[in-house]
Amino acid sequence: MSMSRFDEALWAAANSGDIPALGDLVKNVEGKPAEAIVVETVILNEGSIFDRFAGQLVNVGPRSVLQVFDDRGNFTLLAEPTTREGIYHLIGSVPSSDGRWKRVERTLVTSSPDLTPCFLNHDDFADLGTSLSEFGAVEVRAMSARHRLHTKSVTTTWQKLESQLRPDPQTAILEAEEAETSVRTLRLHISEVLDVHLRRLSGATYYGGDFGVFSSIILARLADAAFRRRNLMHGRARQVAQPTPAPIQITLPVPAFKSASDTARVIEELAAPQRLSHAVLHRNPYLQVSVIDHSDGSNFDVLVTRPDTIEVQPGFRASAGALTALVQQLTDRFAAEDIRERKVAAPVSLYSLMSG
Amino acid sequence: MARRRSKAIQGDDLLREYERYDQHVDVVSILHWVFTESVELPGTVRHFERFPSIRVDGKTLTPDFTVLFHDGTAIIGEVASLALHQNSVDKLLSQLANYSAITRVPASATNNADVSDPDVLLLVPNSRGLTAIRRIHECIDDSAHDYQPVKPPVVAQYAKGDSEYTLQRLPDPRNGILAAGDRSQHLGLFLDSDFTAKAEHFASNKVAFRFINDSPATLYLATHLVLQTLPTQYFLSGQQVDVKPADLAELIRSQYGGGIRAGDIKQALELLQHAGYALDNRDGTWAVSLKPLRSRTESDVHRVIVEKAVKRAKSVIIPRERPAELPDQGALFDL
Repeated sequence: MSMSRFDEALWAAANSGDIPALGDLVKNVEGKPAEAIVVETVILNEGSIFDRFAGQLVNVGPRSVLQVFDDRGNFTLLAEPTTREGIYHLIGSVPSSDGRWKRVERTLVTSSPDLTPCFLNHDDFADLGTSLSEFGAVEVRAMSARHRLHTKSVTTTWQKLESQLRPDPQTAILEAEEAETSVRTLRLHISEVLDVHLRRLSGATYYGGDFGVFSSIILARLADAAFRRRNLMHGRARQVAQPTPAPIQITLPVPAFKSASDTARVIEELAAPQRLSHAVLHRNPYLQVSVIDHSDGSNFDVLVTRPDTIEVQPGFRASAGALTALVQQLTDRFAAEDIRERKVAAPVSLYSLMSG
Repeated sequence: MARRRSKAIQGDDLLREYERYDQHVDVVSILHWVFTESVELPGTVRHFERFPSIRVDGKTLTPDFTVLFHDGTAIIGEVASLALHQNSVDKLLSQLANYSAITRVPASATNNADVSDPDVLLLVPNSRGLTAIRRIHECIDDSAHDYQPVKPPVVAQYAKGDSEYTLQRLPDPRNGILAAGDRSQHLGLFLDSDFTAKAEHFASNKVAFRFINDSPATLYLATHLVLQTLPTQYFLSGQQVDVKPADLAELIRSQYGGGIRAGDIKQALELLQHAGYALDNRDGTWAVSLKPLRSRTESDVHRVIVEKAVKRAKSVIIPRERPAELPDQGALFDL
C-alpha cells in the first residue's frame, strides 16, 4: 500500500531539509479522496519525542519526521513543536481507527512516563467545542461517552435533517451527563468551515474545511491545556525539610467510592499496568495505597478520603511524567471531571466533629 | 550463602501488626492534626512533638507524642493495643509511670521546657477500653504494685469507622481528667463527647509524617523500604544495592522527622531476606534487590513479602564473590 499524499509530501520535504508550515503542507496535498489529519498532543518530559518509536528519523530544525515501516503500509509521523515548551503535536494521516495508528498509540503508552498524552479536563474539552461557535453553528454529528461507574461505552449519532440543526456541543455533553456518562469524543461539523473529531485524550482529527481554524483554535487550545497540565505536574516531588506540596486532586462527577468494594476498583486499576506496584496501607473505604512506577522509581501515595475524590501525593522521588501518567490513568478510568492541585482547606472546627 | 536458622515466619502475625501500626499512625496523626491544624486548639499549643525523646533519670523515654501548651501544662500521649496478659499490662504501666515522672517536654525541635504535673493520655482501641480502665485501676488499687501515679492516667478509646475514627474519654469515675489549665478550649472538651475525626482531615498529616515514635511494624517498614526509600535513593544503581541500616534509618528520619532506628531497618531487612529480596553481607551492609516484587497470586507488595517470607522464597540476590586467592608464589628466599 502506498503512502498517503500527506505522508509522501511530508517525507519528501523532510528529506529535502525544508518542511513547509503545517497549514501549507495540508493545503498542498488537498484532493480526492480527502485525507484526514490526525493529531495527538503530547507532553515531552524526558528525552526526544521518537525515542521509543522504530523507523527512519529525519530531523529538520526543531521538527522531526519519522517514517514507520509496517506490513499494512508505511506511514509518516511529524513531531511538530508548539509555542508551549515541552508540548508537541504528533501528526499523521493514518486514520485513528486504523491498526497502524493503534500501533502509534501503543508506542505512546510504552513511552510513558518520558512522553505522555494529555487527558483533558472536562471544561477544557467542552471549551474546544464552544470555541468554534464564532465561526458558525457547531453541530455534533456523533458522540462517544463512557458510563461513570463502569467501563460501558455508548456512541450516539445524529442524522442531518433539512429542517433542524443537530445539537450543539454543550447540549450533547449535557445530555450525556444526564445519562450518567462522560463524553470521550465529539465529531463536530460547522457548515462550510470545519469537519473535525475531538478526543478527550488530547487529540483531534481534521477531516476538512479551513485548516487555519483547526490550527488556531483546536491545536492552540490543545497545546495550552497540555502546557497547563505539564506545569501542574512539574516539581512536585517532596524535598527533605520542606513542606509537603499539595496533592493532585482528581474530582469525580459523582460520589463513586462509598464502600470498600468501591475503592477496590482503584486498587484493581493500580494493579493493572506492569509498570506499577502497590501496597494497600488502609482500606475501609478510606483508602491509602503506596505506589511505585518502576519506569523511573517515582513513588506516590494514592488516597481516597471522600467518595468523589482521589488524591495523589508524590513521594521524595516523583517525576512529572510518572505523576502525569498515574493521575491521568485514574482520571480516565473513573471518568473524572478534572485534575488540579488541592486547594488549601480552611481549618475545621472541632465542634463540628462532635456528636454529643 | 547459607541462611541462619530462625523461627518460622508467621504471616498472620505480620499482617496483624501491619494493620495495627497503621491504625496507631492514624490515631497519632489525628491528634497531630487536632493540635496543629484545627480552629480551636493550635492557638493554645506552644509545641507538638511527634517524635519526642526525653531523658529522665538516665532513661530515654519515647512517648508517642507530647503537647506543650502556652500555659505551661502538657500532655504526654501514648497509643497502645493492650494485650490481656499481665506482662503486657505491667509493661504499659511501667511506661506510664515513667511518663508521670517527666518534668521537661520538647518546646521546639531542639529545646525542652519545664512542665509540672503533665497529664498522661493513653489511647487504646475500643475493644480494649473497659479492660484498660479496669486493669490499670486494679494495679493502682493494689498498694503492692509499682504503679502508683500521683494522678491517674486519662484513658481514651478509639474506634475505627468507615472513613473516620471516633475518640472518647472513657466515662469511668476512676478515669483521669485532662487538665484545662488556663485554656478555654482544650482536648478534654472534645474527648468527653463522641469526637469523630474524618480521614479527609488527617490523611495529609499521616502522609507527611508516615511513622510514629514506636518501632514500626516490621512488614510496614519493609514495604516502605521497597516502595519508597530504596527506589527514591537508589533507582539508578542497578538491580541490587548494598545498604547500611543506620544510613537508611537516618535517611527516613530526615524525610519524615523521626521514629525509625537502625535496629528497625535491620529487622525489616531480615524479613526481606526471608522473602529472598535481601541478604546480610555480614559486614554491616545488606544487599537489597531493586527488582519489582511480584507473585503469581498476589499483587499487593506487602502481601507478596509475607507470601514469599513464609515460603522462604529463593533469593534473587546475587551474592558477592569471594576475591580470588593469590596463587602461592613460594618464598623469595628458600632457606
